[in-house]
Amino acid sequence: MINDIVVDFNVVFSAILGVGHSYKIFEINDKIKKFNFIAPQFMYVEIGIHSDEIIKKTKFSLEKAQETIKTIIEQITFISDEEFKNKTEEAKQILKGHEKDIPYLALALAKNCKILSGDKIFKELCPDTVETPREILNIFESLA
Amino acid sequence: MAQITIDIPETEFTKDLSREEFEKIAKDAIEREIKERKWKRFKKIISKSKATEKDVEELTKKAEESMRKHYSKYYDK
Repeated sequence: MINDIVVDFNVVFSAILGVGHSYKIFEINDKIKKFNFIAPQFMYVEIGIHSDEIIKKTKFSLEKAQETIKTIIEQITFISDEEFKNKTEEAKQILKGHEKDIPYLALALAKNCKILSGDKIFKELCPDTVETPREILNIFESLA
Repeated sequence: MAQITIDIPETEFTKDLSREEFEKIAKDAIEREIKERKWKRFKKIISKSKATEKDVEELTKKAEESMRKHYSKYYDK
């Protein structure tokens, strides 16, 4: 059975920019299909908006930047606002002042799934819903 | 979808594997090889990245602020 899991910007940008080991989660999952990575549709738009900055920070050529972006985003299913906007109010109540994570939690509530995020405050607020990159890698290792 | 033809001795079909099973084995092996090559290329590219954790944090902060603004219209009524 393949489970949905919401991915946040930090995990996605880390993989695209080649910082840390986030890319390993996408690589292993591409081969074993344990999770179906999902994200708010708006993430797709934002990655496009920031593509010049990605090139600037990585010093990749346009072609190589496009290849890394494509490799990661083709692993993600982007979900339209319509499918989870009715859960934003509930997410806001749970997250209190931690507003930036409302879209991720709203999507997880709508899809009844977990969230992959390295954000420590988010993990403290939703310990049963948020899985850190290390925890996901541990799941993969347990399957090997 | 592109198609390829693989020559296998006819007698092989009469043993343990059917034509369909051979097709699946070949298809899985090709898909696996394509993925291996894709990730090998990806890792080669990112190994040359000049980005830092601070760069990731900066980008994440900007993108999440835009996303917060976009979705606030659904709960800030």
